Amino acid sequence: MIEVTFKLNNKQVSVKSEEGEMLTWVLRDQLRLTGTKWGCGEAACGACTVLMDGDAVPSCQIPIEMCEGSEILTIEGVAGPDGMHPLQQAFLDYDAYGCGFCTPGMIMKALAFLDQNPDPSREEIIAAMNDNVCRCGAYNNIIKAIEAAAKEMRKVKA
Amino acid sequence: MSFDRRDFLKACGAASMVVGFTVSCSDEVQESEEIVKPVHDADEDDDVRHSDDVLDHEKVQWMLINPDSTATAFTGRTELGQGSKTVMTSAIAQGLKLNRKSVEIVLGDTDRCPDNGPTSGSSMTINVVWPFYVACQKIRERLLKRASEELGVSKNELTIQEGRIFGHDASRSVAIGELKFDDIIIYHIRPGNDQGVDDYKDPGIGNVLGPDIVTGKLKYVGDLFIENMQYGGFVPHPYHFRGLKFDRPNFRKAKRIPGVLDAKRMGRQIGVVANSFSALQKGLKAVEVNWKKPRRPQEYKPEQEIRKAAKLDMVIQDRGNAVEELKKAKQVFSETYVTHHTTHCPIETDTAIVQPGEGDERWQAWVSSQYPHMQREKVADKIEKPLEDIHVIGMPVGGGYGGKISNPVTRDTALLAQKTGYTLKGIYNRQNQFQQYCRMKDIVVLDLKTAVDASGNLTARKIDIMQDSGHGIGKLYKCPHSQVKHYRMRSNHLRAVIRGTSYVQSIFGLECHMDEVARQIGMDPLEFRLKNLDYDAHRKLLQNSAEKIGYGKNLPADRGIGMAVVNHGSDELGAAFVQVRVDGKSGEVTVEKICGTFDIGLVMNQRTCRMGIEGCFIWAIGFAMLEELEVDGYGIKTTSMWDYNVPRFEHTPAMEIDFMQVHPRYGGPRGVGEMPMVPVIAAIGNAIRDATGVRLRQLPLTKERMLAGLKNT
Repeated sequence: MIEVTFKLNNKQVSVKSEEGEMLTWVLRDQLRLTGTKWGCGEAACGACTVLMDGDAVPSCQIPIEMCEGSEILTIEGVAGPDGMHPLQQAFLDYDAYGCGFCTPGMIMKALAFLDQNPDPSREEIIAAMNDNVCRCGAYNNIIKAIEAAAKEMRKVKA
Repeated sequence: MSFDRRDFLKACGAASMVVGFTVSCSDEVQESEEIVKPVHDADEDDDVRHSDDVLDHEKVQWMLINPDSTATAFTGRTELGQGSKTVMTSAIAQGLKLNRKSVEIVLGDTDRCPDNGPTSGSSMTINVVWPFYVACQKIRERLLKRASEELGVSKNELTIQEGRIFGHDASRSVAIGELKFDDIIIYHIRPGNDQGVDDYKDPGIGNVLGPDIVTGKLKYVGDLFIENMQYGGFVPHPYHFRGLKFDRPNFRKAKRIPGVLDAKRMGRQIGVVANSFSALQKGLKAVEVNWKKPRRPQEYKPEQEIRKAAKLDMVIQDRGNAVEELKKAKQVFSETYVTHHTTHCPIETDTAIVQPGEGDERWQAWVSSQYPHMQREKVADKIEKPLEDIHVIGMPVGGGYGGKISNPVTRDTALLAQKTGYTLKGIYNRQNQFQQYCRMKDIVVLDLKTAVDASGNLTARKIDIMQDSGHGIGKLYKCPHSQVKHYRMRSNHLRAVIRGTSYVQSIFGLECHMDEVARQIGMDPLEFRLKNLDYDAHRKLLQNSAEKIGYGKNLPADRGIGMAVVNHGSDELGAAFVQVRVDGKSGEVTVEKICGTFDIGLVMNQRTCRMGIEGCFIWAIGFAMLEELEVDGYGIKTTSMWDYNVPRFEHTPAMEIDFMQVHPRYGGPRGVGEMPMVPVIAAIGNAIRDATGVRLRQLPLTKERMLAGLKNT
C-alpha cells in the first residue's frame, strides 16, 4: 500500500492504494466519483479522460503514484458554483450525446483542448477529439457544441 | 410475464385512478375499453375480470393518476439514449395537459413494470410512447366527464390545464388527483390508432437525462455500489466455434494474487472474484487453463462454407415465372455481394450487479439491458430459482444497439454469486466484450440476377440470400417476374441482433445491384429508380434528397454521388444520397456529405430524433467502410478496440436530414432508430462507383479493396 496526495477538483486529497492501481479505479471505487467511466482499459476510447495538470489523459493508463503532487480535474469538478460550465451547457443545447456514457470523457478532452486553442476550426476540433469514441455517433453535434462553447468562453474571457 | 402485484396493488390503492392499456395486432382484439375490478373487490360470480387476471397474464402498460395530480407511468422498457424517457414524458404531459414536471416514468423495474418486450430503438415510439399518448387522451375524456358530474358543469364548458379542471367560471375547479375512480380501466388500443395526431406538438426539448449526463451524475449500473460488493469476471475463451472444451482449470496461481478472493469453474465459464477490478484482471490472466483446440481448419472461407451448407429456408417472393423469363431474356445482369462480421462494441462493456438473497430473501440484480424481464428469466433459469424470487432493475444503458437484450453477463454473474456467496459487480473486460459469446453479425451472400426491357423497366429477377433473413427486399421495386429465396445454414457462432438487423446486408446488395444494372444499360441511376420503384412515396423522398445534395451538378473528377432507398419495418421509408471523395493514390475514401429524407409519420421530438438519425449515418459509415471482426476457423480473434475500427470524429461528414410525410398511411409516429442507417451503406458503394467506375462487392469497402479495384480498371 502507498499513500498518494494530490489536488482533486480543487481540494487536497490523500488516498491509500496498491502501487500501480490506475487512477480510474481510485476515482471510481475509492472516491466514488463515477463520472469518469471505464470503457476499454487501453486508451482506445477516451471514456476515462480526466485532466492532469491541465492535460487530457486517459486515467485508465495513469498509475496512482504518478498523481503525487499533481492537479486532477474530473467531470464532477467542471461545473462552477453558478451552474453548468459553458461546455456542459453547449453539450445540452446541441444534443451532443446518445447514451451519454462517453460524454464526461468528451467534455474533459474538449476542456483541455479549448484551453490550448480557444478559437479552433472544425478541422482542428476533429483532430484534437479523434481519440475519443462516441459509439452512438453524436460527433456532428459534439463538434457543434465545442464550437459554440468556444465562442461563449471567448466572450466570457473578453 | 407476471410482475409483483403486491407492490403494484399497494401503489394502486393509493392512486386516484389506475389505467392500463394494451396494444395488440391480433384481429380478435378490437379497439375497446374494459372495466376491471380491483382484486379486493373479488367476487366469484362476477363476470368482470379482476386486476389479478390482467396483471398476471397480459402485457398491460400501466399509469397512475396520483392524489397530488401527478402521473406515474410504468414500462418494462429501458433508456438506451434514444430518448424514450424524453418523448414519453412529453406524450403523457400533452395527452393529460399536465406540466412535464408532473410526469414520472418508471422504466425497466421487473417488480413494478410489465413485460413489454425488448427495447429496440425502432419500436419504442410506436409500441409504447404513442399508445401512452392515445390512452392519455381517453383518460382525459374520462376525467372531464367525472369533473362535469362533480362540478355540475357541462363537459363542453370544462378546460383542463396543469392537473386542474376548470369551469368557465374559474372559481369552480377540481384537481385531477381529487377525482377518485374505484375501478381500473383497461383500454385496448389497435396499432395505427392515430387519435390526436394533429394536436400533438413537438416540445422541442433535448434528452431529459441531459443535465445528469453532462455533469457525470447519471448512474449506469457500474456506477452503483452495494454493500459488501466485490468484482466478478470471466476468463476469456480463446476458441469459440463449436466444441469449446477445457480440462479442469488450475486456480493456484490466481488465488495467490493479492485481492483475488475466489475462482470457480461454472460449466463453460470460468469465474474469478476479486476485491478490485485490477486484481480481477490479474486473477483472470493467472488462471491456467488447458484449452482443447477444436479440430477444425484454421482457415476460414465463409463464402464457400455458406454456399456449400446453405439450405432453402423460405421463399420470400415468387411472382410470375422468374426462372423462365430470365432464361428467355437477351441480357441478364448477374452479381454477387458479400458482407462481413461486425459487432456492437458499446463503450459500456456488459455489466451487472447481483446481490444474492439470504434464506428467504429475494435476489436483486441491477442490469444494463434492453430487456430486464428477459434478464430475470435467464437468471432464474441459471440459479434455479422461481421468477418471483428475483427482482431486476434496469439502469440506463451505456450503448445497446441490439447487444444488450439477452446479454449473458447478468446470469453468469448470478451463477458466480451463487457459487461463491459474494454480492458481485460482474463486468466484462474488452476482450470478453468482443469474444465471450462469439456474437456477431452474419456474413451474407447475395446472388442477384436481373433482366430489363429496352426502356429500362425491370422484367425479371431472381435473388438468393444466403445466411440472414433478407429483410426489405421484396417490397421496393416493381418487377412482374420475381423470385426471392432465403437460405440458411447451421452457424458456428451466435447471430447477433445489431442495429439495422438484416436490412443492412440485403439492401446493400439490392441497392448496389440496381445501381449497377442502371449503369450497365446506360441509364441514370436516379431515373432508373424513379421508373422502377413501386411506391410513389419513395420517388418523392429520392427527389427531395437529390435536390438537397445537388444531384446532377458538375463534380470534380475524384468525387461521386450515390443513392439508395429503403422500406423498413412498418413502412418507415427513406432515401439517402451520399457524396464521396476518392484518393486515387491511396485508395482512401472520404464520405463528405449525406442527405437523407425520411417518412416516419409524425416526428414526436425533432431534436432527439435527428440525433438518432445522425447516429445511424455514422453507423452506416462504420459498417460500410471501417468495422470488421477478425475471424478464423476457431472464432473471433479481435480482442482490442485498437483492432476494431469504429467511426471516429475524422469520419464525420456533413449531414442534412429532411422529414416528409408522403406515405398514404399517414398517422402516428413510426420507428427511426435503425432505418436511416440502411440506405446509406449502399449509397456509399454507389457513390464510389460513380466517382471511380469501380464496383466494390465485398464489405467493408476498405482502402485496400479500393486500391485493388482501381488497379484492375
